[in-house]
Amino acid sequence: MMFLEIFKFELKYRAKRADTYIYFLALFLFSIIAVDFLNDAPLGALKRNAPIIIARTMGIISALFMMISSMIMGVAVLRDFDHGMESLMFINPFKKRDYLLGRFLGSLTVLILIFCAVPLGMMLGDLLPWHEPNLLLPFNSWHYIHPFITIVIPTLFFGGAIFFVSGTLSRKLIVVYTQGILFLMIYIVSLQLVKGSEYLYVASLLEPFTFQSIAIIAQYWTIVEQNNTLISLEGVLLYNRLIWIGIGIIALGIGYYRFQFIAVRDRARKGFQVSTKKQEFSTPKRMTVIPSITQHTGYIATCKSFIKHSLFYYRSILKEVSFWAIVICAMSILLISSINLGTAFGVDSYPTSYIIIGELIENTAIFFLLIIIFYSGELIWKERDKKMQPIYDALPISDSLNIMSKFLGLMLVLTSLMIAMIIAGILFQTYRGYYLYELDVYFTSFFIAIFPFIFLISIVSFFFQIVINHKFVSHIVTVIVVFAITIPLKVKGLDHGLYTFGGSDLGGYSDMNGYGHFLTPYLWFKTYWSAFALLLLIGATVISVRGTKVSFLKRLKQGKLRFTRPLQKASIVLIVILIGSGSFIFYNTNILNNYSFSSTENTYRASYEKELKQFEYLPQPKIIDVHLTVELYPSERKYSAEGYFILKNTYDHPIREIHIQELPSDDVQYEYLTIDKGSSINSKYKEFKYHIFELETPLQSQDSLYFNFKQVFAPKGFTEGKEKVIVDNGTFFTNFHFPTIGYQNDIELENTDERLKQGLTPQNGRAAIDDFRYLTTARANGDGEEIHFEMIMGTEIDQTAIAPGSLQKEWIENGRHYYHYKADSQMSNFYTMLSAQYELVKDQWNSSIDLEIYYHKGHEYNLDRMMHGMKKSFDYFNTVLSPYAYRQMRIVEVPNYHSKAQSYPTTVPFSEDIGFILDIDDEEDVDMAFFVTAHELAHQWWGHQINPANVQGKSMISESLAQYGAMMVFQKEFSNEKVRQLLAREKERYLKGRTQENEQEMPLYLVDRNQQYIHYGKGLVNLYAFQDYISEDSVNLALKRFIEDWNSFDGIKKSQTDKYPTTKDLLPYFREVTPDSLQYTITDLFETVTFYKNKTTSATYDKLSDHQYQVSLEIETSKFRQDIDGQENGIPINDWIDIGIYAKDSDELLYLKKHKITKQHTTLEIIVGQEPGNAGVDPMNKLMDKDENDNIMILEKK
Amino acid sequence: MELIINNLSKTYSNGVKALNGVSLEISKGMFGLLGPNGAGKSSLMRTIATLQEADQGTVTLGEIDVLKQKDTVRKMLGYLPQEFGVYPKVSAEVLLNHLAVLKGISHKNERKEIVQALLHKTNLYEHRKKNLGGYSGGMKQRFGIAQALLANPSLIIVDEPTAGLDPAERNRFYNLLSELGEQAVVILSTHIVDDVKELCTDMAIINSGQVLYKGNPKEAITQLEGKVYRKTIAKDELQGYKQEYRVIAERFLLGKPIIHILSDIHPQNGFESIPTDLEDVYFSHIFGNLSTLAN
Repeated sequence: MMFLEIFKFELKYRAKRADTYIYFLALFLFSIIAVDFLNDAPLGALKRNAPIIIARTMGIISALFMMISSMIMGVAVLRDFDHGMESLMFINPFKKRDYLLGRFLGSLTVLILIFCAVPLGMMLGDLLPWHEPNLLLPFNSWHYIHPFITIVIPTLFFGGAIFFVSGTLSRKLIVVYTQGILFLMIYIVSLQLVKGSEYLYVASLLEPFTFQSIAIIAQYWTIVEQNNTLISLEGVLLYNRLIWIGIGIIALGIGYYRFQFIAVRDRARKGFQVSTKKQEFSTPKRMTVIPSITQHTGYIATCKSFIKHSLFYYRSILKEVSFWAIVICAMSILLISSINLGTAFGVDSYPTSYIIIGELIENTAIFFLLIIIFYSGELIWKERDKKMQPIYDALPISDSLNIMSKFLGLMLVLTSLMIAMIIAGILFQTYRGYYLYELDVYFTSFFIAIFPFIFLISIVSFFFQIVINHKFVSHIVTVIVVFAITIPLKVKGLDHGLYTFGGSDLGGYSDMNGYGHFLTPYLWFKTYWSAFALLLLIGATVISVRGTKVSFLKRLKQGKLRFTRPLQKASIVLIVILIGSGSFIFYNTNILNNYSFSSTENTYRASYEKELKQFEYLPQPKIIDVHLTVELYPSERKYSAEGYFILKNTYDHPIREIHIQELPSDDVQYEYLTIDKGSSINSKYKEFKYHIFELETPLQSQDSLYFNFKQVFAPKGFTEGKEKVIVDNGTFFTNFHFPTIGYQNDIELENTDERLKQGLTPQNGRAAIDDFRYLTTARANGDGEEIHFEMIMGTEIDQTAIAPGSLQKEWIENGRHYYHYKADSQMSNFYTMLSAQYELVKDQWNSSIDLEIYYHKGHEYNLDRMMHGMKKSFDYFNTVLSPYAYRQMRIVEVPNYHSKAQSYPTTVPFSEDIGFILDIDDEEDVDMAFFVTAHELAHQWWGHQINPANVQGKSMISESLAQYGAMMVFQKEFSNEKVRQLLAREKERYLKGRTQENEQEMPLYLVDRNQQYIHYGKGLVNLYAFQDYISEDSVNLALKRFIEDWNSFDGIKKSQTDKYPTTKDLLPYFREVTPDSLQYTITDLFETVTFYKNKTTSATYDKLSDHQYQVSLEIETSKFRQDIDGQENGIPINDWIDIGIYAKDSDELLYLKKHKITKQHTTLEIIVGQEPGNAGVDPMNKLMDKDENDNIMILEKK
Repeated sequence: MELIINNLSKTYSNGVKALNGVSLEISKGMFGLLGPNGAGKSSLMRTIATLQEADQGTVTLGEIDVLKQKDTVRKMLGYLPQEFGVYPKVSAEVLLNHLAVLKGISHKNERKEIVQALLHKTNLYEHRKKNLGGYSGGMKQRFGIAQALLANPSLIIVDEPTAGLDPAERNRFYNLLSELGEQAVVILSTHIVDDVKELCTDMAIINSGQVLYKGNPKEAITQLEGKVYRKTIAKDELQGYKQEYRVIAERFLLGKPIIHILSDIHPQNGFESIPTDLEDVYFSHIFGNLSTLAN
């Protein structure tokens, strides 16, 4: 049978070709380490070989290596044309069906065999002996084979079908080369197109590689489920696979009908042949004499040919259709996604230049990479692909000129693209009505921050193209190498910029601080690496292929001859630069400063713990008074701080030793550290900057002493890392820079693996809620929580320095600007020092509190919203909770490095990208400037008045209650719709967040460290639900009582017990105000992890009269509770749940009432006075329900 | 200036001896290189054109060591490879101009002049604006010729230059070459014996990487004068004749084989003496001396 023959031939043909094995090997090797590269979910509780990880990784690999499909499938028929075999083939007496099908299935079989490398490689990768056994599930080969069959093979089929058909019909090799890449781009574009949650389902169908559909299937899976559940072929994944297999079949059908057994297609050479006929036989009009010419050599002539040659290559790329295809794809991505200036809050930012640039770069980076990798191949192979190399290679140009021109040509292309992007950015800003074009920022970002990276990657790509001398293999190798060097090396301890390729990036731009002081080290590192890369390029040049093909070894040998004088000179210069800049960098990072390998640092932290942990609970005096003079020198990035702390013995027994911990930083020097009582210093732990003052006479109970110090912070040279404490404009640091008392457990090593390596047991999260040793410590880790505060700050003359308290005096002295602050009353030992060139807007609340916003000039957009937020917050909190204790509240803008707002007593440092440059559209957006302001102000109560103990549940008091407070303030000012928007987002945050949980998900009242999704997300949603059940007033009453009893300064219970409050202290206040029938809600919302599954299964209505409509609903409700192993188990339901009915074509609720639901299936009949539209259970989504889309239904008329 | 090739050898990695102790002295004028397919002509020419390394031997052009001072040679070299391609999306004029830049003709006017002149010379002037992708095989070959003559080369190497040219173009090209041969060393490889006879003052015949003959074509003919005989025979007799005589050529005329043999004396037996042709010289070297190859 002819088909079988052709099929077998295809297999044999591929079996003999080296590239078949190269692809297999590349895939195999990549798959071994693929999880380490591609997986971005935190591993630990989620195991490395969890089915979802395997499936997701396979999906990504099959997308990344689509090029291989193209190379195998695209050439199956094309190769007959490419080798000029078509005339020999097509005259044979076989059928089109046999030929096409044989070739297709043969190639597909080969392709699938090649991709078998993926499961095999991944299996091997997971079986490698060095994985921690507790990071792996028991090996199960089905976990690899199943996704290979359901995910990889369908992808290969449809991709293969499309590539096969396009290669067959286009008959062009370039199509085969480009289509894999093009495919990837189309994919990126389509992903962008459907971005945004409402289209996620559509996106998951449209997206052939299943990232999206797997994400949808598993979106709310907990870690336990992710570890144990195979991604089964159902739902959206099944439809996705069917759609794409269908598309493959359609493509094959089209290919079959369009393909003809004709060697030459009837396509005339455009407008050419007619004139050829005329000319071919004509004799020349005149016999010209060949004029004599002069050949120039030397510097100028070489430069000229260099430039001309480069321009020639530049133009040749611009002529490529594929190039414009890439550019158009990139542009369309920009068009689609640059509208998305979204922030974490779902509100757009103003299109400031640096944000636009960030967006431009993020969205187009992959295209730059594509262009580099693809066109470096095309350029290196340009002559050989067109068989022009015999002519070119015999030209009197040097090897280096040739390769350098190609390189410059590519650089010109990339530069043009960057200029185009700058223009695009400016056009976009104009379109958004934003006219502050900062050209300097554009140019710096593109040509200083981005270009060096592009330059280095291009050299790498050139290097591999030349050395490997196989275009396609080089593509793959370059992709892998670029991956390996751009994804930060996971092997910690190898992170110095002197040996991580390219060094680190420039870091973020801040409107306040520009690129700050990071530019200098950045340029040094780039100089160093550029020299290195150019040496690579020279090395590649001398072994590049010129003339006939010879083996790599021979090229190496010949290289000696081709290492010409100019190249030798250049190499020497480059080596000098390399060594020079390298030494300078080393001098700065390792000699002036102390660069420690992560491993060294880990050892340091571990031995700190081993040596000093013994002192952790040693009774120590508390700081009760802080009196400092801080001199800031922002442009030199220095400060000095001098003054005293008053330390008081709050214990009822004497204290003999005072333990002081200096800031463990080499940049800090102490001029003196003394106490005003006779003592001697025990320097045993000097290496940890830990000093023990042995008192001659013990400090008696309730006695105090002065601790005096002067510390100077002065970085020398530059460091490897990015230290952002003192910056030119936008200094922001806290009291944690100053000496602290006793053992500091935040110096301890945190990472569990590293701890085990160092012989330490894993850290637990927060201390247990009843651990008495921690109940007496709170925000300041026991150094003393309530202090009197006074500070004089000096800064540069054009800057404003801000510390907590009332401004006593402001003056100028010696060309410096001084400020004297003093807190009106006691405050928590948690304060900031800030300095920058600020503008100031002032207002007052109730003529008693000064409201101030210090902001960066140009960031005026949301000042009114913030001011409004402050006023409304004071209105609310001062009334329902307790009076504010100070006479001022300040919002202070800080550079976007900090990307958060944080509440300190009387001061809220607010990052520039949060709030200040939000472009809030009151129609569509939630006013996050208002909400965040309210949240931070709420912390003045939840965090500062109430200072929760350092145990589990701490952040429920500080964060969840602040969220709740902000929401209550917000609710008074904004519509229900906005409230609903906010709640929905926070619920999403919780449900998404718990799928990433590495440890155990705690109930809200025991929330642990680093469980933001619980204390922010769930905290807001559940407290909102709680006040919905028992009323806002009742909740506030409980909170008011809680503050009265437990505030840090005059709380009755606080002063009686000497401990800081916990959620165990809070919840009784809640119980007190909750009716018996609703006591269960406290259990559900705060004490356990409880879910609902609410669904309306049928909804109809009947018109009884014009004013009477009877609605019949069938609802399904079930309730689940998570147990200690993370399993969710059904529990009986006996709950009050909202039933709601909306008016027809309106958002107006005709009916909203809580019904007592006691069984899973409930039928309800409700009469409303207007024609209803939608109805269902829990319409406002107040309960924790993973699928809230099925809660309401459109009512059908009976 | 003279090109001296001394004991040049090259063995490919697959064991094929492309060049085996080739020694030649080539002076100004046209030098013909004759040989069958795979004889080593292209290897030799590529080596002289700096595109291939030799295993041993030397090549010097005047004072220049061709194998080492490649850049110097390239400046004076015009090379037309046997097979080459062109960038399809560029016009002849642009590409020629570009190549001229790369050959170091950095003066713009000079470059323009020589490009124009060569386009005229190769009869491509009318098509100079057209993309090379649309050129026919012959036109492409002419373009190749034009680029080889940029920069007044003093060493011109043309490998099978007339392949694909119609007779008129071929004549024109040879005229052009002879013109250039007055000032330059021109090496022409071909398997068309007549081309060499018409054009070359000197020639060499190579086969299996070895020089079988070097000298003047006319002398070569004289050497064999009166030694070539011809006979029309029956098909089944061919084998017998091949064993008995030194058959140097066989071809069919009207369905019957005609053989040429080489003999010092008249072989009688129906053979007739014919005037010696260069082709006979060629075949006598290729087949006549090495009877093992005759079959």
